[in-house]
Amino acid sequence: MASVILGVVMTIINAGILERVDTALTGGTWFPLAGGTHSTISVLSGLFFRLPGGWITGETNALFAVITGSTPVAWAFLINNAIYPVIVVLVSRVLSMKKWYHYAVLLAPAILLGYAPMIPATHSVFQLPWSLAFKFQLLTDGAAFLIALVLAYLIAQAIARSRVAD
Amino acid sequence: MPVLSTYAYRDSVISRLDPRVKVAWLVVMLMVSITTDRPALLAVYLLVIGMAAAAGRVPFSHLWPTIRAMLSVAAVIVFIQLFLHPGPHPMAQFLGIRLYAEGLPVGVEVALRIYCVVLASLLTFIWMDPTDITLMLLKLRVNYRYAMLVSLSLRTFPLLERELGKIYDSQQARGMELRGTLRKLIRLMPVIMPFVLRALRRANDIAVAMELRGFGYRKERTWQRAIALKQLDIVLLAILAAVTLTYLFLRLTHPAWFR
Repeated sequence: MASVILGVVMTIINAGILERVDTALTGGTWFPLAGGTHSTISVLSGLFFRLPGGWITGETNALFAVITGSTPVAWAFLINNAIYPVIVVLVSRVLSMKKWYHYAVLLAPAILLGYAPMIPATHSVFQLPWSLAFKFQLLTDGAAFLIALVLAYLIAQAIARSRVAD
Repeated sequence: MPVLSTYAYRDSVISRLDPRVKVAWLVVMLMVSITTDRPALLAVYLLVIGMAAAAGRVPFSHLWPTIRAMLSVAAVIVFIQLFLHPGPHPMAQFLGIRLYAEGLPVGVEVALRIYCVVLASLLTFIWMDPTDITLMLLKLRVNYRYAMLVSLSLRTFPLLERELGKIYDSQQARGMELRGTLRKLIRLMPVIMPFVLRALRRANDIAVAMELRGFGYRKERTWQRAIALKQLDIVLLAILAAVTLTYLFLRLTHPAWFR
């Protein structure tokens, strides 16, 4: 249940504020801000509700992205959001996730591998050259990493302290 | 612009169709839109989508906010394509970047594709009752505990949107300036933190309420309504399958027609 709600939360924050700014700036070819909150909520869901929770959150968000027509590459989120929680859960099994740099270690592979399907999606939908699609993706990855590193760490600590996810 | 265009029942042939037909239509539209490069063909697909909207009695005002929002996407994409395709016909210079006319057909193609993908997706879900999505998943042998989540998420969406509004109001009452997208962006943390915590608490409440009503107690669950393919649905699914096979055959044998 909480995973679904987190998926809805992610959609409301992204579609309501961040994707609008991203779209105005980049035409939807890359998502520096929405990528940050996407990573934050995906990490939280994977950490607190493990793999099924991570998948439910991600696929709920992907479904809403398709329903709302928030971006023409929304259908690629279905693949992204299936890969991302797997990496989060695998990496978080070997880390205590109590220090901020644990989040950096977790986010780097999750973002790089989890967002990789966006490269062929932007290439095919926007007709961008492969090199440019790759560069745009790297920009998304960098911004998502920095934003999620701060947000995921702080919110995860707050959730753990409040015990709402117990 | 509302984030979610909600389903509203309209008495039309399309509304009465099985949800599997609607999803199959969406899959076909996405496939042809993404694999076609010729702007004229993409314009035809857009026309088909427009006709489907009219047949489903979806008012234009329902689609207009999305069409308007996608204009900025299309504009940026056309700009990028004008810059990406240097040729002998420079059109204009913008902030030191030279734009070429050679990129215009590609820009138009991508803009049309964006509209096809977005409007086909939006339309499909305007036609579909959230409960129908659950029933369709059940037919696809998804466990009812997971199938239920789709309609549950659609129903909690407006509640959580209202909750976010309340958080904005309370933070503004504490003196935080949150009017305008840029201000909301800068002050994201004081909003996102309580929003996530309140959402998790709400999730716990809903989970407890569902458990008290015996949700998940039995392996099988009965439903008030069931979906079944009618004759028209079967005919339409057959037509969609034929269209897909013909398209794939032509795409492989005459690729130039689609470029």
